[in-house]
Amino acid sequence: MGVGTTLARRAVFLAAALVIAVFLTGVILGASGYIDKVLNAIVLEEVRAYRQGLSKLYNLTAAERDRLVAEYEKTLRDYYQLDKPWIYRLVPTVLSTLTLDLGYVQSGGVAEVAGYQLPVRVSTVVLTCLPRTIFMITVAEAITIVIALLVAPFIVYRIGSLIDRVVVAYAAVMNAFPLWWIALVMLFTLGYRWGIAPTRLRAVTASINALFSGNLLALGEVFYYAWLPILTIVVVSLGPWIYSVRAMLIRVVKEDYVTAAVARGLPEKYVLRRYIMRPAASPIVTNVILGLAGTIGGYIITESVFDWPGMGTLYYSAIVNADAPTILALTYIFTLVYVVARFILEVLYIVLDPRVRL
Amino acid sequence: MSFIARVYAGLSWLRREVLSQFSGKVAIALLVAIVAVSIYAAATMPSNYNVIWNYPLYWEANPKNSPPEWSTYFGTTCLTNQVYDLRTATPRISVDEEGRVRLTYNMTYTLDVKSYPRALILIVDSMTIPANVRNVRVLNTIVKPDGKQIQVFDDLVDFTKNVTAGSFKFTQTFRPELDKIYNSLLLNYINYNIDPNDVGVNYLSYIFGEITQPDPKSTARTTYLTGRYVISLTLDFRVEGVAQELLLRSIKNAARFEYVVVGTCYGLMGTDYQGRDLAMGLLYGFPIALLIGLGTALMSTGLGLLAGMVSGYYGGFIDEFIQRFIDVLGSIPLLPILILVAAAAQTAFGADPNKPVLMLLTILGVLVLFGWGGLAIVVRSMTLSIKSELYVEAAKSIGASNFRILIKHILPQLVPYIAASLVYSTPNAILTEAGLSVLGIYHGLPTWGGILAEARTQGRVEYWWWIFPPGLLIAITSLTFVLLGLALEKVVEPRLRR
Repeated sequence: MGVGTTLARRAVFLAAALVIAVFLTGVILGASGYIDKVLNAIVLEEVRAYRQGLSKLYNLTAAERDRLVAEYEKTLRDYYQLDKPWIYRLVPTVLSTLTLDLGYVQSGGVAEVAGYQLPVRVSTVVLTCLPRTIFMITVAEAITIVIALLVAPFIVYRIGSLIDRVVVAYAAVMNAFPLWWIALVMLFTLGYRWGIAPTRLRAVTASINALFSGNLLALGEVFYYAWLPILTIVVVSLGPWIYSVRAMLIRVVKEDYVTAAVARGLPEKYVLRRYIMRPAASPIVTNVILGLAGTIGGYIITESVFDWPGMGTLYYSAIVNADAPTILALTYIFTLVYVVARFILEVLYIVLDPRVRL
Repeated sequence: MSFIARVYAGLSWLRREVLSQFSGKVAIALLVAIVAVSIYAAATMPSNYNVIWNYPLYWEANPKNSPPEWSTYFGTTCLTNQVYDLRTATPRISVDEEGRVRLTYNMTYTLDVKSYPRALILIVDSMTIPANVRNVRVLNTIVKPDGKQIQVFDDLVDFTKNVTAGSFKFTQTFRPELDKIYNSLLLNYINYNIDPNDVGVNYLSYIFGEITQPDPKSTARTTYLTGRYVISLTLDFRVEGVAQELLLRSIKNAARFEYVVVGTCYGLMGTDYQGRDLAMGLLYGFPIALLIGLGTALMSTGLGLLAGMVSGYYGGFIDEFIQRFIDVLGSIPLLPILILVAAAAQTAFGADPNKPVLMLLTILGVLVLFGWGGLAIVVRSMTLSIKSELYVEAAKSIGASNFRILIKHILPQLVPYIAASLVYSTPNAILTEAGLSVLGIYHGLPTWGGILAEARTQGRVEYWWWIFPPGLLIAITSLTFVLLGLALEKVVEPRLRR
């Protein structure tokens, strides 16, 4: 099989995964009755509030009031399309999502996460939340990766030394702690107890908006809110990251040709660059790209702990409010980013590793 | 060698390899400890533990949101929760000519720190009241160290309505009555200007404090009064021809008959917002966590093993199908789908009495469904290479069945990979369950994650005894498996050895 055929095959399967993920989400939402239950509850609550509001108007007769309430309820049920079976509601939404027509946000709660009021397009909400996640989680992941790529080659020559043992122990411990728990503890100690860090991180919205309207000084404010989450993520994910890069490098270091190169007296840096990093490049690049792609979806639980109004919080809010267009759109975007990253990797393998081209 | 012997030999080799490393030794020590605690907890767990945990009345007499008792060594002013179990106490008995049986319990309470108790409660649970007991007057007074006597409550409970047909179970909680307290304060402190509203809010400081009034025009104030308090509880039964022994026996056999001076600290691990004993929740969390972790790991490993062996051994269309299936599964973002499924399950099982278990099973089911792909790929490539070995060819040529070859020749060689997969995926389920709980998709079972989740929903980040222990236990359990995995990794991937 030629390179082109292989890539085309991959593309087809990745596209299939994308379609399946969005359809699966739609089926879970509909078949479990989740959407119907939550929406019915929302309609019930809004109708109750409306009736209460009407009852304050004394010039209405009971019959008129009932008619108005019934009309209002019908408007709401039409708006949410509750009288159609879920399959007629969700399949069109799924299909339009797949053609990148993401539609409108249904719930006010979801729009609020991004700082909007209804009606607002899903794409607008997503484009508002995405930079917030990038400023916090992607930046943290990038910092982690840079540190890991600097530290791991340093210790790979010193396997078994004290510093290596410390790094492995640190990696093991940090692998065991859930990120969101460390986040809780950091917020508790640095935020509430010592008062060093801000505790109401949702306020970052204003700073990011200011930044995007051209006020570059707001970057400092963004950092003021973001440093605690970034520190937390770096502290927790650095250990496992160094460990995995170390493991990839060790596999290469153990090869005979590396031993031979060192024995020939080649400088350590040269051996590292040419003999170790080059063959280890493709697994490392895989990890880097998939790691960065994974941050786009936000860390749902960690964002929720910090109350950071990013993609993860948006997704969770969409689930709580049973906002089908937003849920489907986000699932689509999360999967799309991953699938595209995988495809880029397929191409990169061919570039990085000549053997694949054969 | 029989199949079992070969697997056993493989496992004992694995054990030796693991134990030869430092991380392996630590991991095994931790694992033994965790399993021992789990077995102890599972053996002592009351069968209705889940019900008890979610039953607020059971925890009524405990202080709420209280730090553990040992926090007193770190500077917290700690008033121990004092429980008087009156079933075992001997009352003073007096019987008058009208047939009333009067039982008086005297308890001494020493207040030795500058603090006020949080509450006073008398709990009577399932006390069998014999027929012909008309009523009981329950009277509680406290004599302060300075000799002043405060009446706490005085209740008359009428049994005549209930005791029409034989005996019945008497269950009631008695609490301080503000009017009684205020009246006895007026009697005892005649020239004081006592503010009834303040008594209503801070009545405990009037019972357990010194009342001063420096200026005749101002209102009375309270300060801490340490010393010996005598709490006297009188049960005055109006009976018709019932022997007092019968009454005493039914008191002895009650489920609970306690007088509690609620403190500000509780037990080994403190309490949560409902006064639940966190030590209990944490202890019984051990077997639940292990069950969640190991159960999910076993299922996903089994599935991965089966799929990998079938895929590698039979090849062809079925291989292609399984591999593409794994591809697709691997491209679907797990956590968003999991959160969605769990939220849907929470609503779908809303009315079901088994909702907690069903929800947990759904969550674990999704984890299993998405968790087997990695092992299947490894097992497939191992199977492919073993399949072409000469001894497999030989076995085939003498007519060994496929099943026999899979079980006898291929499976035993996969043991280290199976063990590694088990070890890697065990903490995963525990962490995910806890994470979902913390997010707010809480199944209601008292797991460590559940305890953490409630700490968060109550918005009480400052309650360290409520946040730290469950998180640390999750981390230690998970660390055990991470260390075990670290040791196994060198077995599975010999290139990692020094």
